[in-house]
Amino acid sequence: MGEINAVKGERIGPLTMVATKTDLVKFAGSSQDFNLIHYDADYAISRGFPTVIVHGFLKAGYLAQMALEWAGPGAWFSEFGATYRGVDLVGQPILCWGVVTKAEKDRVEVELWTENVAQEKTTLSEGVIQWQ
Amino acid sequence: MILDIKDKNGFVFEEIGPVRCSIEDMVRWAGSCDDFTNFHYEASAAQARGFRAPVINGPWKAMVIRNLLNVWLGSEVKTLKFSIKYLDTDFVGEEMYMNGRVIEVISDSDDFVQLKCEIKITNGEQKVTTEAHCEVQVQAEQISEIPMARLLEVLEIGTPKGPFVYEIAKTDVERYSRVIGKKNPTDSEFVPTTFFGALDPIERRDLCVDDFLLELPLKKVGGGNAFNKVVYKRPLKTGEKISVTTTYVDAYIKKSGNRTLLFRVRENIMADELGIQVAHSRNGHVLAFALPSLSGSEAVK
Repeated sequence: MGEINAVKGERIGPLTMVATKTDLVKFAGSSQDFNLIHYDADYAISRGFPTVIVHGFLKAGYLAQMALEWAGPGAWFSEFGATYRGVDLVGQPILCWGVVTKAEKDRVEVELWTENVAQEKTTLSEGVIQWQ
Repeated sequence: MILDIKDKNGFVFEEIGPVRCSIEDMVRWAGSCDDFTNFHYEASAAQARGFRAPVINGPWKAMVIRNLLNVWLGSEVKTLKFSIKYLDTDFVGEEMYMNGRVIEVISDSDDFVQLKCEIKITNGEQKVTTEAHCEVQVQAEQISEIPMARLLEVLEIGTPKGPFVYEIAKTDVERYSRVIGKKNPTDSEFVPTTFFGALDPIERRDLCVDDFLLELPLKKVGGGNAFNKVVYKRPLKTGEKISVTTTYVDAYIKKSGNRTLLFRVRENIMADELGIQVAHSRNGHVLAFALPSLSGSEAVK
């Protein structure tokens, strides 16, 4: 079991990620999510987006992974959720943040979020980290 | 396609052509309707009857015209009356042009319009070879609302679908891990937290029930995943085979500014090879439309 030294209010991150089109295609391939809005600009525009958009699950993946890297070896999320409040566009920086909201002996609750370049929160997430 | 065809007396459909019927088309037609009259597909037989080439079946042209009504007026057009005259011969391999127009709006209600249409086939010499008249019923106007009854029918809320069985491939996990920024993608047998999304038959499009939403003649202004939540009994591991059962649990509409948001919510139960539940997720997809009207929030469940 990993050692837990987290305290409530402790910051996680920030981590800046930029999803390139190649990243989106790789993510599509590894997650089997081949929705065209993530790699076909014309189709994305036809659906009302300015260009291709980053997968919600990819943004959630950034957040979860950032928190697990922070938590250290043996850490895993027993619960995790994400709500997508805004789109992030391919090639634009996505800033990932987090904070510890509850710290117990063998579990930590966290809130995580992404921000776009306009400092708008585009993904809100929360989860429970435990250690194996 | 759903037309706003009100007051469209004289509305002219887009010409289709040149179209050339092939020998294969004729052979397929012969096979499907048991009409093996050989001058429709055999050049020598046609020439023996005095034709320069195999002759296109009249019923084949009638079938093409009826299909054209679907192209011009939409798949839900209902043909009430249909008559056809064969004025001249069309030949395999030669040009044909399909033209049509509305010659009368018979009736007009909120839901349907009844139309009389005239369709003509002309050959490469601009001679009319075939003339058809029909009465059809068409959905009246562009829809202004999301067809929730149809959606609820296809979602079959509360009815589990599956199981869908997926093996968690090591290569997929490593690629996935790299893309989400894992520093050492191969250092753990645990799969990434969000990998449950890669085991979702809806995301993978192994289960496609509401694709018709994207074909609705409504302006789309965004959409995608709305939310995902997962509770794991234990971490998933590379190499496992996971059985996933998906159940739609809700569908509802919310208004957000000038956008109408359509949510479809499903729950996935994930079990291992022993049939033991390892995770449960709740996932929402949203489609955003700019509808001409609709106010407030309408829960439909």
